[in-house]
Amino acid sequence: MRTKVLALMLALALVAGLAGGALAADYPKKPVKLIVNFSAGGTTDTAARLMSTAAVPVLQQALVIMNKPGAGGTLGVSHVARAKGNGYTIGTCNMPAIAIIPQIRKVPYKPFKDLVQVCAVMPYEYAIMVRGDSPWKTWEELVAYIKKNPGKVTYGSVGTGTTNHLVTARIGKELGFNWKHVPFQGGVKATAALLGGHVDVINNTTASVASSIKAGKIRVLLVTSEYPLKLAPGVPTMKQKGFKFSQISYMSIVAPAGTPQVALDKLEAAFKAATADKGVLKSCGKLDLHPKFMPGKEYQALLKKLSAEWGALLPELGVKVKK
Amino acid sequence: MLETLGAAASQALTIANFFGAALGIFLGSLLGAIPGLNGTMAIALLIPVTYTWSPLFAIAMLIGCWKGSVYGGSISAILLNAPGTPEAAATALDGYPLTRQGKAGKALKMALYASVIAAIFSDSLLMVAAPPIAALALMFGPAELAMLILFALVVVAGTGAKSQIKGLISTAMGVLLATVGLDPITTQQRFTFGSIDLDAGIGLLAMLIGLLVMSEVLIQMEEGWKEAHTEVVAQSKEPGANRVSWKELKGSLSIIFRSSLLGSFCGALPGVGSITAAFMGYDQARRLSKHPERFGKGEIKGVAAPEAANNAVCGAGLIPLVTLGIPGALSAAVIMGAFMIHGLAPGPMLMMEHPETIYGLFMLLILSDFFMLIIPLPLMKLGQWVVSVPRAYLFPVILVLCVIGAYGTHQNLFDVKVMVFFGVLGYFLKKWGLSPAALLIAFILGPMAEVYLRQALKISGGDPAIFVTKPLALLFLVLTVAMIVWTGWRHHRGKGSLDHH
Repeated sequence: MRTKVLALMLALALVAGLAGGALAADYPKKPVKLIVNFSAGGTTDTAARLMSTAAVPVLQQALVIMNKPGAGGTLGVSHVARAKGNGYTIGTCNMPAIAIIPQIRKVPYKPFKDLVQVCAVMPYEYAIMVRGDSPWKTWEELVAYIKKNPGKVTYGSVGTGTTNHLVTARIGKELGFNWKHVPFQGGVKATAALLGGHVDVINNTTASVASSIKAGKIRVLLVTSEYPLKLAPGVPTMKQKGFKFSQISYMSIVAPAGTPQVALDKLEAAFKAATADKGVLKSCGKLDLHPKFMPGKEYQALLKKLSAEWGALLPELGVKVKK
Repeated sequence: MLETLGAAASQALTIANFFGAALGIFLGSLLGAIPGLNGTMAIALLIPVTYTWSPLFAIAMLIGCWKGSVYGGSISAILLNAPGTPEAAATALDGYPLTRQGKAGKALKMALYASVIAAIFSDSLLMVAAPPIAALALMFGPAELAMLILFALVVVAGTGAKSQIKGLISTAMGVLLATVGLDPITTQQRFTFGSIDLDAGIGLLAMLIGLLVMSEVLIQMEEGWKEAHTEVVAQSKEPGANRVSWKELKGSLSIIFRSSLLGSFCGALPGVGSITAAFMGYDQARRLSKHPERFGKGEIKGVAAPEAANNAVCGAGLIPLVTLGIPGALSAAVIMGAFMIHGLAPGPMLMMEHPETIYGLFMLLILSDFFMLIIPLPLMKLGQWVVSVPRAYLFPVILVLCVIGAYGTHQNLFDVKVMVFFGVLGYFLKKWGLSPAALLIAFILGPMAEVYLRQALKISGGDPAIFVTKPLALLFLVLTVAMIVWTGWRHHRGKGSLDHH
C-alpha cells in the first residue's frame, strides 16, 4: 500500500514537473503585460514602446503596455512586485526605485527580494547645464564663481532623492562649496526655471532638452553620466574632471520574484535583441536616447553596490532617511 | 517663406489629415460629453495607436481630441449638471440652471460659439506671437507663480457655494485633501496611511468623477424618486430658448474676449492649466458684471466665460511646447510624446529643422477650429435626446460609466474606490450647501501654491522678501490684497444697505 502511494506521489511529481517544464518551454503562450512606471509620452514610455515592438520577433507574443505613473516610479514597480511571478507581468524600472527611494521612505516592496532584474536596457544621460547666455563658459568658471560667491548659486533638480539631486549635492560636497538645491516636480519645470533665469544651474536628462542644447539656449558644462555625449561634443565627463563617481542610472526591465528562469531568459533575449534593433536605435537616436543592453545579473549586482553607496551618503547630503 | 508655406500646405492639407482632425474632435467631444469618461482617457488610449501613423495625422488627431474633449465636457455639464471633464465644472454653475429653465439649446450653443471663438483667438496667438509669449511665460518663476496662484485662489475660492463661509469651508477641504501623498519638496509621505496608492496622491479624475458626476446622480435620484419615470426637463416654449440670438452673442463678446486672453495666459504658463482658466474666466465675468446676482441662476454669460477660457488654453498650451520644448498643459505633455515618437523633438530647433511640419500643424489647428463648429452639432442633438430619457433608465447607465471612467484612466481599482468615496462626500457637500466645484479648484490650486511658495523660499534661502523684490510677484501680491479688501468692502456695503431697508 505504502509503495503504491509512494509510486503515485512520484508519478504525480513527475507529471507536475513535466507539465511545469512544458509550461515554461512554450513560454510565452499569451501576450505579456509590461507596466511602464512613468506616464505616457515621456522618455521612458517612448523608449519602452519602441523596444517592445522590436522584442516581438524573439518573444513571438505581443507586449501590452500599461502606464502606472506616480510616486517617483515606485507605484508602477510595486504593481510588478505584487503580480504573480509567471512571466506574464513585467515592468520598467528606474534605478532610484530600487537603490535609493526605499531608503528614504517606506515602499510596499522589498527591492532585492520581491523583484528580479531581467536586464538593463538604456542608461539615462545626464549633465549639469546652464543658460546659453550665462557668463560661465566652462565647468571651471562655474566652480570658481560658486567658490567666490558662497551660497548664492542655485541648482534645480527633478526632485528630492533623484540622482539629479544627489549627484549634484555630492559634487558640491566633494569640492567643498555650497549651492542651494531647489527641487522641481520633473524635468520640464526645472528646465523652464533655468530658461527663465530663476535657478542658475540644472541637472537634467540631456535628451529632454536636446533641442534647446542644439539651439544654444542651454549650455552643457559637465557630463555627469559615465560617457561623453554625442549631443555635447568636447564637454568633459565627471571622470575626466577627476571625480571618482558619476551619475549612473538605467532604465531596466523587472519581473516579480519567482518568475521561472526560462521566462527570464526568454525576456532577456527579447530585450537584448530590441536594444540592438536598427529601427529602435534609429528612432531613439533622433531623440538622443541611446539604448544599451546589460545582463540582468550584472545590473542586479550594480544596483546592490549603488544601494550601499548612496545609503551611506544620504544623511551626509542632508536627505532625511527612513527610520 | 512662401516655399515653406507651400510645402506645409501640401503636407498638411490632405484628406487623411482632415479626417484625422475631424475624428479626433468627434472622439474627444464624445468622450468628454459622456459623464464619467473624459478626453484625457481618449488621448491616452489613442497615443499608442498613433505611433505608427504619419506625424501630422497623429498630432492633428490628438490635438483635435484635446479640443473636442474640452468642449464636450460642457454638454454633460449643461444638460445633467455632471461635467464630463474637470474643465467644465465651472460651466455647470450657470449651464445647468439654464437647462432647468428649458433653455438647454441656448446654453449648449453659447458654449460652442464661445469655445470656437476662443480657440481661434488662442491658435492665432500661437501662430503670430509664440516667441514673445513664451518669453513672458518664462518670466514666471516659483516666486511669481506662487503669488499668481495665491491670487487665483483668492479670486475663485468659494465659487458656487451658498454663502461665503461655506465657500471657504469647501476651499479649505480641497486644500487639505490635496496634501495627501508625497510631500512635493522632501518626498516624505503625508496622510498616506501606508498605502502606496495614496503616495501618488488622490487621483484628480477619479475624485472629479465622484465629486461632480456620481454625487449628482445620488442627488437627482433622491429628488426625483417619485417622478423617476418622467423627463428631466421640458423644452421651454419661450421663443429663442433653443438658440443664441445675435444680441446675446454680441453682449457676451467682451466677456469671451477677456476669457480668451485669460485662458491663453494660463495655457502659456507651464502647469497652470485649463481648470484654473475656466474658474478664473467665470469669476471675472461674475465680478465685472453689472448684475453679479444673476450668476449661478442661469446667466448665459456664465456659460460663455468659462468655456471661452478653457478652450483658449489648448492653442496657447502649445506655445511653450513648440518654442521651448516645455508643455504648458497636461494634454500638451502627452502630445509632446507624439512629437517625440515621430522624431520631432519639441523645442527651439523644431521651427528651424521642420518649419513645414510646424506651419502644417498651425494650418490644421485653425482648420480644426472650424470643424469644431460643425462636428459636435449632432452630439448636441443626441445629448438633448438622451436627457429626455426617464431618469430611472439614465442614471444607472451613468453610474456604470463613472466606474469605467475612474478605472479606465490608469486601470487601477483603487481609483474606483476613490471615486465612490468622493461620490458620497459630494452628495453630502451638496446637501449642506457646500460647493464641490470650490473644493475641486482648491484641490488643484492648493498644492501649486505650496510647491511654488516653498521653491521660492528655497531659492531665496528662506527670505520672504523675494515676493516683494520681484516685480511680477509684487504685482500679484498687491492684486491679491486688493481683491481681499474689495471683497470685504462689497460684503460690508451689501450688509449696510440691507440694514437700511
